[in-house]
Amino acid sequence: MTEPEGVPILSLTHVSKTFFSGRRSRIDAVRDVTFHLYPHEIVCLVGESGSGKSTTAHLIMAMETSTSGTIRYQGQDVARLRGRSAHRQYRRAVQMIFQDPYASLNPVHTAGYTIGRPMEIHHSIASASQRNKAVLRLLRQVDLTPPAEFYYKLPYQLSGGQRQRVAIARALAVQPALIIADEPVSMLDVSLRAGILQLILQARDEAGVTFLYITHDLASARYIGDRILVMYRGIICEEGMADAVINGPQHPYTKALIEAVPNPEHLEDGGTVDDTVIPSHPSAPASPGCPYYALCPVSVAECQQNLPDWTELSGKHRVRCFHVADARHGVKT
Amino acid sequence: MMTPFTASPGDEGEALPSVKPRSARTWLAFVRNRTGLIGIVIFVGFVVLGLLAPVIAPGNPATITMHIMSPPTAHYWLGTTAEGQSVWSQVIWGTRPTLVIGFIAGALTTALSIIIGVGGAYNGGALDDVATMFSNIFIVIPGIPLMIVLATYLHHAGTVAMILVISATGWPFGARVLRSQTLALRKRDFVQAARLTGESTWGIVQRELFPNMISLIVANFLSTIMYAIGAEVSLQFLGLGNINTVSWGSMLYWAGNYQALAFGAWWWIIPPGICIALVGGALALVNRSIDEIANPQLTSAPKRGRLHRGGTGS
Ligand SMILES: Nc1ncnc2c1ncn2[C@@H]1O[C@H](COP(=O)(O)OP(=O)(O)O)[C@@H](O)[C@H]1O
Ligand SMILES: [Mg+2]
Repeated sequence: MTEPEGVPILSLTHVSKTFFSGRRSRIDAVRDVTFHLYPHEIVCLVGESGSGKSTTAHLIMAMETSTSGTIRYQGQDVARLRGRSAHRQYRRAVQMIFQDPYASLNPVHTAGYTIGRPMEIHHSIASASQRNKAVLRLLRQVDLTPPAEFYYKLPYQLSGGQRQRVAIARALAVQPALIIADEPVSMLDVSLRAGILQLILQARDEAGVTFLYITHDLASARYIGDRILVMYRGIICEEGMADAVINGPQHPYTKALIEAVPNPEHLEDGGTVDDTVIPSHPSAPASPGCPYYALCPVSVAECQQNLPDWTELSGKHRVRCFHVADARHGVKT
Repeated sequence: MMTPFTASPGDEGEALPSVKPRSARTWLAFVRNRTGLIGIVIFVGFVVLGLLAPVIAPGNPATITMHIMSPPTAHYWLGTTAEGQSVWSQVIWGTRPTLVIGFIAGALTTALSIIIGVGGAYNGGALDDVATMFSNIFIVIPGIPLMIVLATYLHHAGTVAMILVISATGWPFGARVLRSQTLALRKRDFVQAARLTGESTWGIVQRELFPNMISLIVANFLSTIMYAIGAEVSLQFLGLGNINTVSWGSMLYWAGNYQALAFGAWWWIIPPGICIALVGGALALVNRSIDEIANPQLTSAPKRGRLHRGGTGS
């Protein structure tokens, strides 16, 4: 496991994103999110469907602009990238893997084209023959062998798992420092997931890529993640080392999640089973306070009014909960 | 910088086997498709007729002779007109203005459809609103009546005027179809993914959108040629084009003017009629085969082994 250390490669501070649809309805997809990614770690952003994970990814990728807060990549404000070369540099440094490999590959392009094109755009490899070699090497590294055969495959000739490997190779093609992987295995057959997770671990270990790994499956988060960020309805309610969060959850929402896993022993399985998936909760009216307020067994009056601040626990573990804050305050005095 | 993973030693000598480029495979699929082949053969046949007109039917097709209203004979294969001109010669030479106007007007119309339809939809916002507004205005303008009015106003539309009128009234249909296709495509993940790899806007249109729309664009182009030929023939038939050029439309105009039907001169009317129908039918056949080929999922996988056996037919 990699401990977070040094200067963060990516920092989100008080980032919010509100979608307005129509005149009256607003969706606070991301609320006051703060976290840091340190070089070479794999951080899992876990949360049920609709909790704002993809929106967070889109904000990082500058596909959306945040309503407030700042996102910094190596100190550089992502919202203030000016000029073509700044954009290009960012695109080269930060890549994304999409959830649905059936949608993320252009049906008319061969695997070889899809993987080689980013190299061509960024001139990272000068000659076409060198580029072909690099593509073949990547194909081999993502286990699409024999590579010369896969080079010419069109997406419809590939299985879901193979497509996702092509998508991963595309993300790796420009040798990025950071990859945002938005639920890269959730659309794949359970039996294929371990292989993809292995590939991500390998890319971190051998190429030193930092990952923000988004998932709604606790087991894969536990398996692959150095740290875990738990997201619920736009807020990050708990964060810490993967073991600490899974074995000693502190936020009432995280506790409820982990207690709800039908076979806790499967949490060790590395995402090869489907029964550690976080269930979706019924939606409650938006409130200025903690989004878990209505369902929380230990909520206090203040929970409905205000968003709690972070309470630091041991190590890197911290929680956003008035109840935890009060309990710790009580212990100290 | 960093290298992705570590290069394994065996990779250095790896080379790509050569494979037939995609365009060659597409053509092969076309030739294999009966419908498409028939359409192409007929259409190309007319193009060849037009090109070889001086060889097949030497002399000026407008030349007036003494042999008026002659039924088909050994000398005048398709008979003569009321002014003693050879119908055979006129039909052959008439291929030229019909195809030229059809092709140029079709190309211009398709270009307008692409620029306005794809450009508006991809950029979105105010540009799309303006483009849509223009499409909606132009689409309710009835094409042929407008052409008649314009042609009357211009006193016999020349070739250029006719092409401009056909293009100006023909583009909104294609623009609408291409716009909706672009709107559907630009939201797809692979377009987002291309953007995230740093692809420029023009690069995305050219490399990600167009290849997915090519069958639609070609189909649109062929339909527009059909529309343009129809419009050209109508204008000529109504005497609103240049009635002194020899074309299928002007042949029908003169045949009508001299009441060919009343004189039982079927040979003057049927040949240009059949030619118009054949060209239109050929384009329709090609269009249908494009539909069948368009979806790579529907055709057999272009495995290299299959291509080698291609010569033995399927
Ligand atoms: N472009 C958008 N417009 C309006 N609402 C959106 C948009 N994108 C996401 N949302 C809403 O934001 C919330 C979070 O969505 P998302 O980030 O996709 O969640 P997740 O990826 O965790 O499932 C959802 O309620 C969703 O409906
Ligand atoms: Mg999502």
